[in-house]
Amino acid sequence: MNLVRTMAILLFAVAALGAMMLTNPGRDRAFQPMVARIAAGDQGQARLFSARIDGWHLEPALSLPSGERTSEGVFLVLDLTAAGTTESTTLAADWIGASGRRYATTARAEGLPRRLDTAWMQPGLDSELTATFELPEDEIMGGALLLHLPRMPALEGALLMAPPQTPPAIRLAPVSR
Amino acid sequence: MTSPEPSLLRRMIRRAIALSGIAAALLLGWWMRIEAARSPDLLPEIRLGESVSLGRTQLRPDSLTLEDGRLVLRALAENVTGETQSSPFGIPARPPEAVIGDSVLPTPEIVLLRDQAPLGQLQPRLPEEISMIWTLPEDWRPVPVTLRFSRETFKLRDNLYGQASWLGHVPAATLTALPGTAP
Repeated sequence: MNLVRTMAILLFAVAALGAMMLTNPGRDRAFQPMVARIAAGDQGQARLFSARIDGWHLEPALSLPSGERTSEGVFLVLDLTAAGTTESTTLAADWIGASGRRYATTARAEGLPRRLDTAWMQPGLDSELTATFELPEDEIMGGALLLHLPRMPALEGALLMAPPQTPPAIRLAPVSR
Repeated sequence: MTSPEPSLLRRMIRRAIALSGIAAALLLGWWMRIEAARSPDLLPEIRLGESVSLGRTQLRPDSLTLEDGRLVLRALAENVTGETQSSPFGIPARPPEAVIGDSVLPTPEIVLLRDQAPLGQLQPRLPEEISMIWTLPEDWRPVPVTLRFSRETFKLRDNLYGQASWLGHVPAATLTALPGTAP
């Protein structure tokens, strides 16, 4: 009887240990920024920056000083207004697509003015910026913009911003800025 | 007050359980060594048109040609992860190596076929046709070229932080072909 009881206790301990190991959050889940969800058209406020989406549109190609850049998908361009709060900072942006995939701002927009990923946000000064993403068109509706500090520091503020409710307009011809 | 001596049967059971664990560990180790010896480390040899997994990227070499004294590999590269990859050939980047005889050519220039812009990022679900361009030595004569591909290993929970990581490069495949002329 003692042996049975000992085995039962051992089995319970192994099962409890296994359950803890399986449900223990990994570093990827445990150390994340604190993400605030922002409704369409609202101003988002994080510890070091604030931002608002002013509009969005699609471009099939980008016209750059170094030449035209085309894509297998489309270029999604978001117009933003952002500012720092207590200190100067830079920002990074990702588009969380409808499928959950994560698209960083495209490096192929190099040369365009007012790029979010190269600008500094100054405290109290609103900056008008654009974030350009290269992605398949079906990732746009149902997606959201994630604004965060570069390299996603853990426990820092980030904004998950819903885009405008109207679908983005398509500019058929590349537009020079 | 002392507890009574366990019966002979109980002692035998305990020792048998302990012995069976040791025997299982020994047998498993022995079997793993046999399995490792049975499958020699032969790299798969792929042909043009066949895909190879490089970890974050799936690459399909389509053609190998000579163009203006340069060796050009045209390929289709696809990001198979769920996020933008800024270094499609791993960190540190290890694009395919071109080997002629015993010498390895310098790192290739990689551009998009579409607009000749450098390959900076690969977006998920957007495969890109790319050209890898090696500058050849002046005295080069057409001989078969071997391309060596390496793959990054994905680990869901690494040993250091317990986070998902791409770790290290291991040889993935080779491709040997005689460069053709560009169409």
